[in-house]
Amino acid sequence: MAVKKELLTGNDVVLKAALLAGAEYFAGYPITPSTEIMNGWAKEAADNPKLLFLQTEDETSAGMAVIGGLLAGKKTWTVTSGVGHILIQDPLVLAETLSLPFVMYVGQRGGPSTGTVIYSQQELNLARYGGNSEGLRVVYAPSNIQELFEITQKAFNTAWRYRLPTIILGDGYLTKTLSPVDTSRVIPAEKAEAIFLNKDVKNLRNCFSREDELAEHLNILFAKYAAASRQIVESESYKTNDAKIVIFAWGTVGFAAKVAVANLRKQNKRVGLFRPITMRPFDDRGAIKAVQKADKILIAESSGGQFGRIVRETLTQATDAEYVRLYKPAEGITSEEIEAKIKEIY
Amino acid sequence: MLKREMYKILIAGEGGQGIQSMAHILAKAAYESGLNVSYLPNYGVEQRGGVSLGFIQFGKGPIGFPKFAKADLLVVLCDRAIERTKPYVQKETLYLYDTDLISSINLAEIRAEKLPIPATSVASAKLEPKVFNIVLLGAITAELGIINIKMVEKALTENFADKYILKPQLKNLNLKALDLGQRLAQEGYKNDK
Repeated sequence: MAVKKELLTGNDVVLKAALLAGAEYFAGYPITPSTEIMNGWAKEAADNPKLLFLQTEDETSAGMAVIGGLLAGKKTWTVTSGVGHILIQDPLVLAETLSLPFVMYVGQRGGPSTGTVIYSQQELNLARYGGNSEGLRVVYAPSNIQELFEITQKAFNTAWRYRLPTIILGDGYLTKTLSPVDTSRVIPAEKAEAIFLNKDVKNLRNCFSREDELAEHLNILFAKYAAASRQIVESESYKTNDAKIVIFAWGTVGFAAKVAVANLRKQNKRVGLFRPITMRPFDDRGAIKAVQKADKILIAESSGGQFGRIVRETLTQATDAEYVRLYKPAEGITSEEIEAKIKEIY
Repeated sequence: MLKREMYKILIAGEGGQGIQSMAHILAKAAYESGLNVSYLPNYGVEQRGGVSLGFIQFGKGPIGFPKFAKADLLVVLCDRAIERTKPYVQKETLYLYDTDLISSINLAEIRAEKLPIPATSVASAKLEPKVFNIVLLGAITAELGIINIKMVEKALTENFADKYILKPQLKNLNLKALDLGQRLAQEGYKNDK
């Protein structure tokens, strides 16, 4: 298909992608920086009787309404941020134990608590393991607006294909930015079905009377998750083959790092980037392969080390490289800053 | 006039001064002029009444991150924004400000080429005070030779289309303000630094 460029915000893009993916029902509660997505859906639903919309009284009930929509076989989704992301973990872990395709876009903002309203990378732990979760969920991290368009569509497919709650973990920089997007990149949508209402499913349980019963249930879920993970896991290794410094960064910062690497390569600096696209499952093998020639690893993130802990745990046995931290909790990190940091340690 | 491969522009002022409208119009006009573009609005919890920032980038090349470290053109509309935007100033930065909203004494520490524009007083004398921001937009466009003024006019009209329905006379007022701003910048109010 021919390239079709449109000037859009990331919020427009999430909405557009969800509609292309066949979303039918949205239940949510407004919160900056993601409110525009809900407003956009409300407008669409006002014009299109096939689209359902419910604004609930908070994010806990929004998540529960999503579960209701999914049980009825509707492609249901929601959007939240910050403290709303905390509240919605309760219904999200319910979706985990019931294996429901709960799709949610999260626009990270600063924390703890109300924090700031536009940006951070501080909701990574929460997205991966929030609530009393065993991590039976998929977390995608788009790094720019084009990827946001494609990954949002893909998230619906992943959720419905593998029956896993799926989060698209973005931030307000990503969704408030206005820039051209190629909207011809449409991915065929997975079909939704009311499997939860068919004859085979007698009872969906989130409560078990015996420990061994729950253990058995979980072991089945873990096995399914492990098998699905191999299909789902994604990462980008950019110019890592001969890199003596490998940057580890994700999401918006991942894109800043890629721009920095491209510039540094022009100056003959052997620098590369490892950028996870799924934050869970995490591409351990890809990460280990990326650092084979590295004697330094630069971890850049807009949090106090949530990502760094994953990186160090993953690479423990794989490298003796020295870790350098560029942690800027709650603040953005530009390409220029990453470039300057690399020059300082090169 | 600024000549760059890629332009990085930061507009800063109080919430309610029309910072985001200016930035949005500029970004749209750049896109319609055939350029690659990125515009990121940035503000705090105190959305109305706090310092509001608009990060705009455009040019023929690819654009990386939506935020940048240093601005090519900085447009400052209130005293509070001077301190807030200090990290984005470098000596190559063109520092455009409204002389009626900012006193040059407060800019003593700013080491950059300055372009003072008396937007508010000129808008008040010749048009209406409220269009001072459109006057500034005209001045910005004049400094950025790369953006087609027709596209700014188009984006401006699109941006305020809803308001024009109720008050059709606003359209002409805005277009006049844009023209006035361009002339102000061209006629040269350049300071001797």
